[in-house]
Amino acid sequence: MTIKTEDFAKQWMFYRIMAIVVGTVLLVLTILLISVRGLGNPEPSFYVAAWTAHGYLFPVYVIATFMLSTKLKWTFGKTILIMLAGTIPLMSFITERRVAKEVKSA
Amino acid sequence: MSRYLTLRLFAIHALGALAVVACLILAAWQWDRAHVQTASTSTEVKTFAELSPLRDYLPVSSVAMPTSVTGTWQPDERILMPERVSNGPEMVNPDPASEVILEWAIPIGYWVVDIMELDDGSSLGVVRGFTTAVEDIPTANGVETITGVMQPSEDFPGLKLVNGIKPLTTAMIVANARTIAHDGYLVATSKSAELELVTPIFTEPISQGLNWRNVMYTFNWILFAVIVCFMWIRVARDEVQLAQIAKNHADLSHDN
Repeated sequence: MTIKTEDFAKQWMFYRIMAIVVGTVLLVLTILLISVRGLGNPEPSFYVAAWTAHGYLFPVYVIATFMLSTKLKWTFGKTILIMLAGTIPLMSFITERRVAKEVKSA
Repeated sequence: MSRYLTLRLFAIHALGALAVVACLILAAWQWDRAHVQTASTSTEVKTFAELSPLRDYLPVSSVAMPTSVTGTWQPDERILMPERVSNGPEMVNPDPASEVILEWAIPIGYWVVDIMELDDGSSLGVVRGFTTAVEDIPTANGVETITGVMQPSEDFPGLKLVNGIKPLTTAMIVANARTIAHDGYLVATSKSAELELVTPIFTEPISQGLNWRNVMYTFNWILFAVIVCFMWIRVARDEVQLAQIAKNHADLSHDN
């Protein structure tokens, strides 16, 4: 049985886009956090809105990960770890690359 | 029915239910935080005109804010509020839906409310202090500058006093004042007579609406609860289907 169907391609693209978007937003927010909390710079006007936006992008990333996990038959633990990668700066980029390798070999 | 009762399926349901409940608890927590009262950090004495615009309701943001006002006492317009204690917050009924009777170990007496006529001709009710002896209350006379904090009319929504204490309302002040009166009343924090000072009912600013950041987080957790439900249903459905396939496979093997 092959998983490389049109349906899978859509879910794979959905996951990739969300992993890159969530990773980028989190990276920018982390730099801002260091600037505000660590260096004592004033909060930019979009600071709270950006954190709130991340709060809403992350659930979409979780859905994308879950949809892909059902196709790739990931274990529950692996699925949760990949979901949590969206909360650690840079980690969603790393997991996206690893998942890409897995998809290519499938 | 046995395919719905496997240990694995039970674990999926338990975990799903637990995760949904956790998300909803976190949503409720954020909703509570959205209503958290912000304590005033301002000790600045604002001008009275800023706090209490005439011909308007007392703005919620003016409650408990320190202010200073100058006016002429109206000696014949005194209001005495009986059955009270000097500590205002102690008179507040914590459960406004029911009547609460408290036995106080502290003295019970009167709040002395005098009317002050301000320079613009308006009237302001001022709680000058507390006394247990009505006959000894000094008369309010002349011009005086007084500092204090503004309080809303005691028929303020959600506010109910214990022991059936009669509330001090704007309507009472309007009825006693000779000129147009301000909404609410001022509790003096500076001593203007030989009266014990009263602690106002509202010692901190009243919460002004919602903190939208926490409201957004509340919906965020509700969204997570919905996602968990979705995942829960999908995982449970897959589990049942796998069990069914395994059973069919076993039946086929048995038949052969």
